Amino acid sequence: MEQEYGSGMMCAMVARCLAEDEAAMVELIDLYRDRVFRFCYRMLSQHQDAEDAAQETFVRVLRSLRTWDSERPFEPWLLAIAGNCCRTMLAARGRRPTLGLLADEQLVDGAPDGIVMRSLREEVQQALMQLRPEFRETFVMFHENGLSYEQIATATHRPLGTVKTWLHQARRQLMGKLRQRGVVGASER
Amino acid sequence: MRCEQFQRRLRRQLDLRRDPHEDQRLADHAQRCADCRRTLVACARLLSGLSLLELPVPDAGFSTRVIRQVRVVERPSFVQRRVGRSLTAATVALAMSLLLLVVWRVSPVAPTPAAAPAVAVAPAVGAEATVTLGADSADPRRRTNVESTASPARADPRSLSLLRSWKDVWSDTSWVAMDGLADGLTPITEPLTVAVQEIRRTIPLGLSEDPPTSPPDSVRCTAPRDRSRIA
Repeated sequence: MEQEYGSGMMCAMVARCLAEDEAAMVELIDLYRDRVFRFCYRMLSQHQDAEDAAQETFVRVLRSLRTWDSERPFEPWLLAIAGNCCRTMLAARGRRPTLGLLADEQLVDGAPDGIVMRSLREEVQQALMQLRPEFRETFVMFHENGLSYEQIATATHRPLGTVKTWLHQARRQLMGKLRQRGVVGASER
Repeated sequence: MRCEQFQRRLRRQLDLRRDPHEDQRLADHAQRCADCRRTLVACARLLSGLSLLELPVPDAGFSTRVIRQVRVVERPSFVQRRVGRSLTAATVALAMSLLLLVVWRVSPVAPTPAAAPAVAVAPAVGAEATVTLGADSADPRRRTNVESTASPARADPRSLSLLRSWKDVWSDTSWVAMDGLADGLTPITEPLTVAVQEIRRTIPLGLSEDPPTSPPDSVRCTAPRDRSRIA
């Protein structure tokens, strides 16, 4: 997104925000609102929590715009703040996020060959929610937000090797869970 | 291709954001290995599921709410408040010390008749303290108390005389030159005078005309008892 928007335009927008230009602030929020909200939703799995976290993210971002290094891309920095907000919320919640959509007993234990799309989506979502928060964060940043390894490492303040390991573990666990849940049909066995 | 190679290649395809199903070598190996085939299918399902995930959007008026919240003046955090309070207390203490210092510095230079006898009296008081110490030295417990209370007077006779001169200036009501200043300082000096008197009463420094009849609890010496207990 930022490549499309252009870093020069981003800098200009940030400069306007720093000059207390409300229209620029709204523009900035609208530009990243959906992506940040989606990221928070994947992390927290609840609409209201995700909205609170996204709101808190933008408040923090607008208050600390001065600390943004214009040499670096904006979105990883933004998602790093979103990740911090989500972790704070998860810690406050004191437990792993529970997914209200799908209870375990509702899931089919068999191996349906013609698994419907809705079920697949729910299975993936369920598996995603069972990951450790840092694995989930890395996975979502890479596969949904399209960040590179380096950008994720910067955003999460982790070494590159750790990010690679986390992403690999996340994928492995997700595939393992899908196989466990019988999402891989009998014909593929 | 071995299974380890299959795993590595699959990982690389995912890192490059490519569809592993489109890779012929992976497909060939999956035809021969049931376990790798299941992995490949699970991977494909995962990617399909990801693309099917719902894309939620925040409620209307999100931007407005954020802007409103940004506009709210940030309340200082607990640490900030605590630091602020400490700084205020330190500033007040510093101001009080400066005030005392100013009063103390001004008093010896001022041409007061009270300042001269104050310095002259000082050795007498020191001697008095020594005599008192000698008289009470028969009782070991009393001696300890007297030593502990009289030690500051023996420590520095110069500061003792300064303290005495300051005290005399402070209590001298006939000093006309300081009247104006004293009037202005009355609200501050009155409690200070009370505090000084209280300190003098508790720790006489060898200056008090009426030494305390019984030693205060805090001064009561327990060390010899403890030592005897240990022995």
